[in-house]
Amino acid sequence: MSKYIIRRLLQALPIFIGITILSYGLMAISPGGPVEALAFNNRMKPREKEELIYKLGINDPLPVQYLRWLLGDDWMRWDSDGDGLADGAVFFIDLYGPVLDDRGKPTIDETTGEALRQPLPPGDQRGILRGDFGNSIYFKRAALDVLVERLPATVELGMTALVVGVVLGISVGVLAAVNYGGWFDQSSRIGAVIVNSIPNFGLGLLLLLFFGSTLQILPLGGRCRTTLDPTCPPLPERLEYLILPTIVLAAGAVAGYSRIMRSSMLDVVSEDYIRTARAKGLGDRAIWLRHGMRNAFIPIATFLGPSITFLLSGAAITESVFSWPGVGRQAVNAVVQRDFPVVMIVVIYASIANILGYLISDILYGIIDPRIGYN
Amino acid sequence: MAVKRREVARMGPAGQSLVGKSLTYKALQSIRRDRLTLVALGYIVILTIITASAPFITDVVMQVDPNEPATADIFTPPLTKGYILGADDIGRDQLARLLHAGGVSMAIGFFGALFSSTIGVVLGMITGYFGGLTDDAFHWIITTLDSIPSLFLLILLSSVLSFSAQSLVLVVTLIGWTGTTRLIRGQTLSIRAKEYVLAAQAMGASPYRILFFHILPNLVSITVVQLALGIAGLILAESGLSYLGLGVQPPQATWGNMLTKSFQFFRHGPHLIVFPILMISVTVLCFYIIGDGIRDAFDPTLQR
Amino acid sequence: MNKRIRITMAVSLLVVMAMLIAPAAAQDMGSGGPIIEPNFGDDPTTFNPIIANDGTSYDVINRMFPDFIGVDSATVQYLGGAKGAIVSSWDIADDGVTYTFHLRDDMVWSDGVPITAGDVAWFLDAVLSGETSTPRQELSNRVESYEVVDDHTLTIVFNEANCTLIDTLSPVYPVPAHVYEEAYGDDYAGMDENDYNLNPAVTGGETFVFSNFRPGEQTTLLANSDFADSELGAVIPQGWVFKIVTDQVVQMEQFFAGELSFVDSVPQANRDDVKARGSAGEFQTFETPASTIRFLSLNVADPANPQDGLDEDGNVIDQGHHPILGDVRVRQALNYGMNFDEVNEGAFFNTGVPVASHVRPTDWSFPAGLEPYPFDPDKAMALLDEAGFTDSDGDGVRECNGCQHAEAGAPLALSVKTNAGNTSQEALYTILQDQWNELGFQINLEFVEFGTLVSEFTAQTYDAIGVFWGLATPANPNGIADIFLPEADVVGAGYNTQSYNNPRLNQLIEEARNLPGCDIETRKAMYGEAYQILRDDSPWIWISTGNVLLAAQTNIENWAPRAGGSRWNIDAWTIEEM
Repeated sequence: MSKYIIRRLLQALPIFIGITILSYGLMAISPGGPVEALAFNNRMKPREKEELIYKLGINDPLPVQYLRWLLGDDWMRWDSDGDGLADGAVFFIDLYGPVLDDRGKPTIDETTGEALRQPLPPGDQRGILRGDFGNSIYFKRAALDVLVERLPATVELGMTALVVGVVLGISVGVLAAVNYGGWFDQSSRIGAVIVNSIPNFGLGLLLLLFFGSTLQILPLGGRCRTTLDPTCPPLPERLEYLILPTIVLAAGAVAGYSRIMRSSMLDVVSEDYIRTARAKGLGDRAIWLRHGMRNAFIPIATFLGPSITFLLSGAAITESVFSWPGVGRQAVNAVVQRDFPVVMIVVIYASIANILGYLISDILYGIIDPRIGYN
Repeated sequence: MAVKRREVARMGPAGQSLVGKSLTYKALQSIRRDRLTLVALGYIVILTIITASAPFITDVVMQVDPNEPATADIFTPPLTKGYILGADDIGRDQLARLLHAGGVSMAIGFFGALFSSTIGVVLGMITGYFGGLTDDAFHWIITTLDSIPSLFLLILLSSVLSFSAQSLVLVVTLIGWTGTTRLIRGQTLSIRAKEYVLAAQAMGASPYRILFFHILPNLVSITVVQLALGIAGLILAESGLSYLGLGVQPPQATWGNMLTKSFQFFRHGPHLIVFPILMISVTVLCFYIIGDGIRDAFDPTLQR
Repeated sequence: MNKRIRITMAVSLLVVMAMLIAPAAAQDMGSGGPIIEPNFGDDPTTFNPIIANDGTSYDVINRMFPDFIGVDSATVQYLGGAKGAIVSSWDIADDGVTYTFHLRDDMVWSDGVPITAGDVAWFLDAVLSGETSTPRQELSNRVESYEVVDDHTLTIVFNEANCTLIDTLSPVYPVPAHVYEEAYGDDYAGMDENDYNLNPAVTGGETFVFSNFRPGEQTTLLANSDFADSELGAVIPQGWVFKIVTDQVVQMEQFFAGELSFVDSVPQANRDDVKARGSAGEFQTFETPASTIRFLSLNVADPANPQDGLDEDGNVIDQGHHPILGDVRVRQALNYGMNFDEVNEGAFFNTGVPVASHVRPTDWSFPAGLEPYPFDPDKAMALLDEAGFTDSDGDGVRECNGCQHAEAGAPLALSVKTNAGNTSQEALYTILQDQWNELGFQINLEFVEFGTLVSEFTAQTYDAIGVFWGLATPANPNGIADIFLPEADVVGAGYNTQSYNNPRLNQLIEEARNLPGCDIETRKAMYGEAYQILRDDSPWIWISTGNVLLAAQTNIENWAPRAGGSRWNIDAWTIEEM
């Protein structure tokens, strides 16, 4: 088993590298770079803006920037005499930068007609592979912190939605299968499809306006009652805040799971061993529960991994509608603010969660269905 | 000998088409009995015709400009002052805008799904049939793309490209092809192992001939189902992106940006919420129903 | 003691207690319940005033750090001894560059340490070191030196005498030097990454002190028991919560449901509703001029070949002309062709106010005679005819027939871009597009994501771009006028992206800023002439400012907004149980 997990993780390595190349490439070519977005303020002088560009290393070629981001640049340009300016650099990056005048233009030496140059500051990034995701451009602190701060809320909502989605989905699916062709079967199928046809944010806002504004029985978003306290009270004391976002987030999962559960239950009951059990005189209920359910769980396991990923990576839309302080909302904000380090770390985090989600799925698959080995 | 071989070779596709015909025939029969699917299909056909000819309808029949503001008619409710579905926050005719918006939203869904299905079918068949290095390379690309949750990929890409309908089609195509490719590759693998394909191979049929005449016909139903579900998913994705401010930008109306904007006016004009949300939901619902209907119709185990 | 007496005694005791408590309650610190204010934005980025660079952070900082020079909330002018500010008065030496500031001695940090000149010096040390990421480089550009004379006296020497030096000092804050020394030391460069930024142990001098920060949710401050300037002898609200509400529709619904204490800017779509309900006694409301203006920047130089305004030696560079907007008559025609009443109704729910410059009527430099362009389509058409743009082929779009800068036969087509995602901007430009097309323009309207828009704006490759501009309070007439100087015309960086250059204007602005003696009437006349030139030349189309509607729950006593905002007496707000 551990061998299997290690092998799977090794297989994920090239995928991880692909993700870093892809996401870095996309960010790098997007218009309206971080400097423009930050510097739209008439107090900023051209020179400061240029200095910022050199400071952030924005003028380097893309592969160099990628390398710097991946492995850091403290080994690319270093300062061995401790004067704050670099005195050595690898061949592919500049050791010297221009001396800037007040208008942000390079200063030209009157006599030689050449641009004056001075050593640039040494590199101080360690690169994401060494745990340095850089500082958020907007928040000016470690991008990793920005992600970690938002994780608890996302996990809280995601896990609730997952549990509700799985439990409700399986129950509805089983009941629909037992009730095959009956009114519950029909109406649950139609209901699931209809709920899935409404745009997520539309459903969220409608629920919020109806239960929060019109009926005034549920809170209008947020994670807990607004008080002066430094933390939210424990989860059981603020369940009402979870109801609506959970409904919106779990709606898809309920629809999906009930559908899979229903059809796999129907498949299973038509199989030979169920017929044998029936012939042996076992009661209907016993057959459904003992023989049907266990096997019908197998396809569910397949979908569990992706759902875990989906819920852990934060539902940007639901979190925005309900002012939920999660990762997904922050990701959207970061894109709008062109806060590249935060976008990167969220994408990489979500991708790792995804890879792990599939791994969990496969392991569960094996636990439920002993016929499947790990080799 | 040569003659014989040609005959046998012809028998392959002929025999196949016989099976195909009967299966297709059965499926069509089954769809004809499925009233729900027929209604949904009818709705989509009519909607497509109407939205595709929206410029004509608004210009000639209704004689209104969907982008022309009329500040005197702000928030006119439906069925008053000649506005069938009312007017919006700057007095534009909502019906005319919904029609134009529908053209864009449907086009994004349709072309996005069409392009990604086309890429998916071609790549899926090639990688599934030939395997080898191409297969490995694409497997790597696909798993990489699939590892990034699609909303994030959508956000990433839409931040690179400007927010127009055309670039949105490009974006959803770039994201959507992986799923279909995976599916088609799997199907191709299993069909490749079937006896009639092996027979055709043994008789020296060229790979492209096999792909085109033996494998492709078997992928039609699954592709059509993918297409229907894909369009539904993309219409929803378009509206979600609009809510996050990353979708198609006005003045070009889409159902998504109309709905997004409408919520801030829900005290002035609820009709601005009701109709866009109905258009999106009913259309998506119909595509789901069609997808289900076709899947059921082509599923031999359900043909009892 | 029989039962009746006991009951009577108990009742009278209760009455006496109630009488004692009720008036006292309004005076006790923290008896007023928490104030909950919505934050329709992202988290604050830092609580360190040295490096703060965004409105949200300043919203919090201003609640828990004293100002250096305060602003009078009624007149919106700098004032010595203003509420919540450390400077009680200042003198200017005859040289015009040496300012001596006298500081109050009754302000203390939350740990009891007095706030002194050394605290201001720590701020200046850090900013002038040039090592921090502070956006306040204007300070470094102007301040020559400074000296702590004693605990309550500070002199600052500037490098040149001009009339806007006090404005330069507006971002200065005293910081608790004894704590900052320990937290940051002299590692100014590493300031951004310091954990102390978001966990300030010591704040004070203002209404509240820092309590806690919950990322993505809220920032919480508590009543400052040592606040020296409280209206009622103590800070009445228990605390202040700055709470993130991500969806604007939801934000107003939270206010309607009583979950928010007040809203500083009611969205246009909700105005009528809030006003009506306000008159019905459901809320308190207050209307005041907004501090933003909307404008459309017109590129007067060749957008195909953007260049700076001046070369390295300060000589003017010939940047060519914009084929269409290079002609002042076309720019004027756009102005005459704008029907503001229609725009106001369609885009601003009739809350907009037409403007002819970037100066608000409440600002001291506001020129009385300066009128916005009237709506006069005939005049507009005549100007276009005169400029050589006529519709010779009868398709409704004019072409260049003998115009100044465009090729013959080129259509009168302009690309107008504005920021996406703002409902009123969308409505405004949709209506303007319609109006201008009536004149024979062919306006191609695009709503562009803000980051992209800014790139194009500073790259000077656009025809016309419409954005908002936030005005500083108190108004500094040079703040925006400087934008039209050739020095600010730097491709990719400066703000004179329209490449406008008018020697007379440059001279007026320079002289008004540096006028010896800074006589306000003379300066006002100079600025007045400058604004007139800008209006007539129209490198921007000044479109509108507006009023903002503020609203509060009825149970907030003493909520009394002034021109300078609603929070000036936040220490006296008393929230009563409904």
